[in-house]
Amino acid sequence: MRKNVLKRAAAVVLTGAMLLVSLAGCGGTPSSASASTVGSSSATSATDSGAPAPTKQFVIGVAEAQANDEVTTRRAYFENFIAPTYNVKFIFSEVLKDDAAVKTFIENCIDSGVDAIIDFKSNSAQMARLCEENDVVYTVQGIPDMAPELMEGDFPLFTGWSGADNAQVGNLFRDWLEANASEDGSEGFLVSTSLAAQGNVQHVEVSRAILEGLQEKYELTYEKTIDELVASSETTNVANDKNILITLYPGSPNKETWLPGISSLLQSGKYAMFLSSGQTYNQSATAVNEVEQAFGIDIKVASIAAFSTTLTTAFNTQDPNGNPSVDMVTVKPSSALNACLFATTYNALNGAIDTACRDADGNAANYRFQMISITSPEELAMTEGWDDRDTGTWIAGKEFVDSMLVTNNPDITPEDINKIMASLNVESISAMMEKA
Amino acid sequence: MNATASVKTNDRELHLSLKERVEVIRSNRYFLMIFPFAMLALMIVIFGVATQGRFFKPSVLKGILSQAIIIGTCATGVAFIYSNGNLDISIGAVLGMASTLGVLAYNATGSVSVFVLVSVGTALALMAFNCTMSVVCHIKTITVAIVVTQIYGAITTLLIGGAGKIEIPYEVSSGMEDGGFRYIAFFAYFLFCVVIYHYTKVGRELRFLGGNESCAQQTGMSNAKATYISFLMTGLGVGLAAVFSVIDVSAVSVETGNGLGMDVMLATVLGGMSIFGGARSNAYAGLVGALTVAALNKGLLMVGVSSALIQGIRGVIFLALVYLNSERQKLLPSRVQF
Repeated sequence: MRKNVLKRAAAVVLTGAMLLVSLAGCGGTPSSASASTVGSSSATSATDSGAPAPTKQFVIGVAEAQANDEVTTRRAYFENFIAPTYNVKFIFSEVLKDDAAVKTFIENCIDSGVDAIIDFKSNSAQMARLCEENDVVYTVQGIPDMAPELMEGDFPLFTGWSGADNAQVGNLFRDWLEANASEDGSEGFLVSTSLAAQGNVQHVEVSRAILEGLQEKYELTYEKTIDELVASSETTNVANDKNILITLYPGSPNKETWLPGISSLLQSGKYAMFLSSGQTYNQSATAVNEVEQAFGIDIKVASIAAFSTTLTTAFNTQDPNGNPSVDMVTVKPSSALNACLFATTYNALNGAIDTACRDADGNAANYRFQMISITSPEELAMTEGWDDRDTGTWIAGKEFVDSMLVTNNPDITPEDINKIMASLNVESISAMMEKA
Repeated sequence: MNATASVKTNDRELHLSLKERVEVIRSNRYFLMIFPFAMLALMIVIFGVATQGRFFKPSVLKGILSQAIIIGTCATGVAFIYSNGNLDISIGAVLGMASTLGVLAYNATGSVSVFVLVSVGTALALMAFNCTMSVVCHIKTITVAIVVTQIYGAITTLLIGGAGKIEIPYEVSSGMEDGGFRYIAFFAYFLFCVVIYHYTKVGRELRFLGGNESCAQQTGMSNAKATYISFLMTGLGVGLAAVFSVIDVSAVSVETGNGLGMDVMLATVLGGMSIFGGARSNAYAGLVGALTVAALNKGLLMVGVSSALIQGIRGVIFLALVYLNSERQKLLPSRVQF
């Protein structure tokens, strides 16, 4: 009996082995997979370049912090356009919850033979050191202020930071508030400060700009400083001399506690303006709609966003008052940001880190891009087809990416790349897309 | 096709269905002991072949151990809690708070010893508090854990403040890493746990209590005492894991320890142990499970499976392993597992 049992145990183990072997076969070569899904847009198709893709294939690991529209679009851009056009293979992470997870992912990527890492999560000297020790190029999406050790340290393979011009994003919110808030401020303002309390720079800047905008419009005096308010990790009613209701709600929109908290506040019926420093308009849509129906009020919603069908749906879905379910969004030209991150990484991989990735003082470069404000379905319609992952039509097509690469422009500098990025606005992108 | 098969025994021939054959295999007394190790070894061999030997490189194997060490340490400790039939999912929050206070203590004193002592001491104190709430107030340990997780998390967020992260000098963490502190401390703790668990009266009592609490109490065993011992053993492990996590990334953040409780449960079950305790519990299951998870993650990435597929594949493999590892309710005097 025991002999038979052992035979059967061996059979089970071997079955498991077959399962694992067959699963191992699930891995494909991204370049081949990508090639079959290249977008149809003539502007961005790799086959339109007229030049063969570079023969040396670089492998780049991408450490992701979130799972949302922006990430899906980025993945499509990298896999379907950049990979076949520039003969690059990408390894994408799952959602990485903390620095330890990022480190594990980078270590696994190094064992897989990556040449570079693009880090959307940690902005950390520790990761730069890990990459340095393994001859891997390291690029970060973020800003230097949040990583003083990375800014001051000596990391020859660290290319620099690429991120939004957060002051400009804040100004977009401030201008919209000036034009849309009531004269007496009686509507009540609910502000999702997102991860500002944890130091997320974009969330800090947007939250700060909203509070400054309200302060200027109503000539308010806050009892606490704006920096103190923005850094609060608790729901806070902003005490002010005019008794205007301003409530700050901190917390990650990715956490399951965020929506119930926001819903409870909205359901009080005291807020007719909901401003978010993060990308939350889609998560809060149902709660906002329910409150609008229950109280017969129109809640104006302003948020960060990315080009996506979700955004199109939001602008084309009317609330009970006949208004779009979102009133203003600031949108990242996602492919342009990702093109910048890729370009700086690719330049470093091609041996130009000292010229293309260092500023005049020899420090790691700091690249900035402008965000776009959209306030109506008509404005959104103007952007139709931009960064469309279904059709593969990208703002940052081959010509745009090529202009930032040392392989096409050997004398490129960070200043040149920043000029290219700063030139992006609705008009210039429209012209680029029409030309394409 | 007839799904039955014949099994010859000494004196007769049995006709068994596929399900019954699997049950026969799973019912073998050695199966739970051998299967998790066999799967881990098999996984390493398969990934080694699939990566043309790259998976066998010492740096890769060391990386697997390094990645498994935090969950492995916690899981080794938590085995004591699981053994006598309790659950505690607050260890992530305990680890976060212990790391935070340890880093703050280091930044205030500049002493590595103080950093280690404060981290371990905090974890011991918090686990003792959890246990006291359960024993004195007669609240289920899982209920206490759910509540204190929120409290410890909030305190940690307040202690860390607006920056969201507190760092220690890289020279300190790299010095501890280079000196082998993590590996020495881990293996010392692991051996200590194995000895206590498998070769002392305390360990036997814990397993007996987990197997049949009423019977154990009728033989004079104190559940309160056993619960305190199990929580303090876990606290020691979580405290060490807190130090390891700071060494790992030279920092502690508000996200440190998030989801650790579930990761530890998964590792324990993958290692072949019921999280509801019982006579067949052991102190090494968590480490085996943590190594399995680390090897699987690294191996799938190295053979080129995309991250979208990795999650699904991992889920399927985990389900299969958990099914094969789970105890048989009809045969064991243990609490109902599933």
